[in-house]
Amino acid sequence: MSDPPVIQTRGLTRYFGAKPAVYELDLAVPRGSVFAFLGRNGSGKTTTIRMLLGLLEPTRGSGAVLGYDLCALPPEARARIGYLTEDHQLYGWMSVRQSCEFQSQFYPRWNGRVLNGIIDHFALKPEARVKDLSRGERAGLCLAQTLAPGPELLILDDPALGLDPVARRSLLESMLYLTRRSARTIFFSSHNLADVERVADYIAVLDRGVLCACCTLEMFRNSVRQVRLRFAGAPPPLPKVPGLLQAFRYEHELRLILVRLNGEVEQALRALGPLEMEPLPLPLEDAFLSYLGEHGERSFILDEADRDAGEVLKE
Amino acid sequence: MKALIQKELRELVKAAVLGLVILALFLLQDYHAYARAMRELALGGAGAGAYSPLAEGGLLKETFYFCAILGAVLGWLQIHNERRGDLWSFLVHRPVTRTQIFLAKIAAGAGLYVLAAGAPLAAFILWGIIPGHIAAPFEWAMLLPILARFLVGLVYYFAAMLVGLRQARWYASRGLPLPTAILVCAATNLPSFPWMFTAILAGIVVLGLAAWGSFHTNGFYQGQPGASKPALALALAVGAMVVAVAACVLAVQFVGPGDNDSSTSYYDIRKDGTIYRVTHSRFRPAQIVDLDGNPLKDAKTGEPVTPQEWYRLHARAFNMDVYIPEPARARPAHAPAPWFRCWQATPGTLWYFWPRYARLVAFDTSSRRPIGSLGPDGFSSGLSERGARFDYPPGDVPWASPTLRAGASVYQVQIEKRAATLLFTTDAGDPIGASLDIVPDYDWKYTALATRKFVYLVSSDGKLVWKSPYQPAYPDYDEIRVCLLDPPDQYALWLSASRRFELQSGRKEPPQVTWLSGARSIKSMQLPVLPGNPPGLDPTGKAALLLVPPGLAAMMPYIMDDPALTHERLWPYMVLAALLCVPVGWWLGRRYRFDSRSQVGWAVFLLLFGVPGLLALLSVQEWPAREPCPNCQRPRVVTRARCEHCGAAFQPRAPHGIEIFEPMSAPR
Repeated sequence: MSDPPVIQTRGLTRYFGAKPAVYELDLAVPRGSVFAFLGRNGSGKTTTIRMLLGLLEPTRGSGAVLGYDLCALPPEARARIGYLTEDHQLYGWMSVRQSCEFQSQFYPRWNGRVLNGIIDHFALKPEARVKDLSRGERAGLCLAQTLAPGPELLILDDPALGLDPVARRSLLESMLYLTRRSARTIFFSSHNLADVERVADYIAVLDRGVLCACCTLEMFRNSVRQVRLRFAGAPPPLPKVPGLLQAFRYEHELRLILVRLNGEVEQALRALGPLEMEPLPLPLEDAFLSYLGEHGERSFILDEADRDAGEVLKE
Repeated sequence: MKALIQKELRELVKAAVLGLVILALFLLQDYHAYARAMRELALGGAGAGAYSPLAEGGLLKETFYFCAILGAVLGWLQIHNERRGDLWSFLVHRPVTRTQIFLAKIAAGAGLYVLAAGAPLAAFILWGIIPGHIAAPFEWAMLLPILARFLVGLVYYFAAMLVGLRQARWYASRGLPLPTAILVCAATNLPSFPWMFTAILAGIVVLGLAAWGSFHTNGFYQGQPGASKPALALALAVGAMVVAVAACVLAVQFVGPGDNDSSTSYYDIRKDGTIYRVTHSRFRPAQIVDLDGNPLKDAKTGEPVTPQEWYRLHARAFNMDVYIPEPARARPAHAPAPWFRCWQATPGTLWYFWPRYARLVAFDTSSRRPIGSLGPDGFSSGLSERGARFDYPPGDVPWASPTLRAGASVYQVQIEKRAATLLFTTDAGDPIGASLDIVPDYDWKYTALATRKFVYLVSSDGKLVWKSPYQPAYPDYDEIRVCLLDPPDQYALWLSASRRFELQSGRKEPPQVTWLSGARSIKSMQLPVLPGNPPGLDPTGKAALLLVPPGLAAMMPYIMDDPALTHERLWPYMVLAALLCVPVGWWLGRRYRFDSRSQVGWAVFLLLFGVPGLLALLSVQEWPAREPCPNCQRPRVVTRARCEHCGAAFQPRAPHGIEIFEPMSAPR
């Protein structure tokens, strides 16, 4: 019998005024997974995380985190959940040492070795004031304090936000090193698709508050595909293609990015009479961008004036 | 918990220390002012140091404003510090209960408040109560007003905390706890200590509970613990009442009907005994007419007499209010009365009338200690509550005057000789209810006395000038005016109805005048009632009163110790206003699908709190959005899983064909 999900929601919904920020969210996060929660700005990621942590009451729906009702998380549940806030919030007036001491007093199973390991990794000086730390250093300190209690579940709200590549890499490495070994569950939101590709097992994509994808990274990679159709002349008008994310129209070709390139879709595309139809590799980042970006058709055909001027782009 | 308290202390300590320094400077200034006054007294100044810094209005004002501001600042900072950024999430995710976090905040915030405001006050009080520092009477009860003002800070502390916490739907309604605190703290002016402390402690409990509940739910109303919901509603209803009444009064002032014809009239008497009616209008010169309506004209010029000329012509008048304690109307002994009154300063000695002993008490200005007291039985060294007492109930302290009364007798007080000599005794031991020394041009000539049966006028050598019956006017006519006419043995005695009597009768009562010549009454008459508003509230006051919760209005006569505040005639309107609010609240509850317990609870609340209760309901609830049900097309609230009309569940959004879902399992 498989473990029950660490996070499970049923119809979780949150309105702000008349606008739904999160709508009918059904989510299940498997134990031991690294689960990336994706979406554009304002898609409802932070709202969802705040509801999961009982910081925001859902308008309707229900959910459980580590088996506890998310509307009434008891202290023992909070002790098992590590939470890294957006912008790595800590008390700025505290020194690194004071901040760690403050945090450690709430957790009986505080692991000083883990804390010191990460603090050393980020080369943090114990007497430095938190408000004087760089973004990367503060992120490291936050991560150290989040991991030192040994949480079963880590909820990270865009942990790499605003970090330079070196700091981001350090953060990810620390996170992975310490969590993979102990089979912890990580649920994190991010805008950085390279990070997601590097660490995530599962992804969930939120679009304007509605969940539109929830699968393994592998399945996502296999589902979103790119195909090129070559034509003798100008490509014909594109009919309604199921699962079409984006279409790029050139002088003699069409490039399509689709979800689920199955037999039915292939048949519809062949009906356009292409000289050649070939699948193209699609980097995961581009697949994400197509999935999360504006859907529809774009034209890249140069007219005479543009050609003379060497200009290339016309939408 | 300990870590949280330490953190809070560290965050607030700067504000608290700043507050402590400011209050200490204020109190230091008070100390220096008193020391300077005492030095001036020693150099022959006229009683400049004859006061107690502990009972001084200045100290109470300083304490009140300082405590209110410090409490509000500390409460606000404790929430505001973590509302910036997302430190709030960081804080409340600690593995402790919200109540523990809240209590840690209170322990630190209230503790620092007590230290910052309490330490300087305690030091100042300690200095004041040690004998030899203040040459003035001291009673422990004198500290109660200071304590009340000190507690005011906690009311503001919780109010500011609540303002910081609330996620208000209407932005302005977030500030409603502050008017609540202002009203609660107005209780420091209530006429009795029990009500004063009851109101302040109730304010602390209600605002504290409301803050605790809001802390639990990150400032939202939904999901609050049971006890904090009514507390929050009550706190907001009281604040809404204050704002609504203030808005009503301002609206009437600025956009209400003009007050162009407003005028005030009163009766006055000329030295020859003729009564005139004087009318002052805003846009017309004052009019002085006799009882037939004929203007008073200058005998030489024939022109109407101006108010300046009238001031020269009118008779000198002396007023006193009769107050004879009866069991039913006795002033409560626990009232925040004037504790004492400075009587006179003689070389090296300060004299006070001290109601506790009902005697004149002398303090030595050098040692600043009591040296004795003067009563009807003369001067005695030391203080004893068993000594003969003058007749002044607590709260009715006489001003320095040539005489003091005791029972049916009046005594002439001679401070320099440290003696009190019997001046006059009423007939058959009739107790004196009021006395007034008539001192025209700094020359004591007469003393007027009132008993239940007679009004007496006694000369300064103790001879009876006249006595006039006071029945049946007593006790409804409690304002006595004695006018000295020309020639010198002519007098007029006016009796005016008490406010209480006029409120009870619902109309203005005519004044009664008796003319006396020597010991003989010449004439008596009732003057016509002057035009003007009937006694009681003006239209603005009535309109404002309709915004007062009926529950609070019912308690006002007891709180204010004034039975006249019953407003019987306005009760139907107040109850009607509340009754109209109930169906509005009921309809809102139905529209937004309150559960039956909330529905009934709000109905009772609206019945008790009327219009302010409705405003509280509107501002406290997070009204959910309503959207058309895809099944029945009727608007349904989004908080319920199923449509309240047809029972249909909410459906996920229609798929776009790009959805990718996979059953979840543990990672490989």
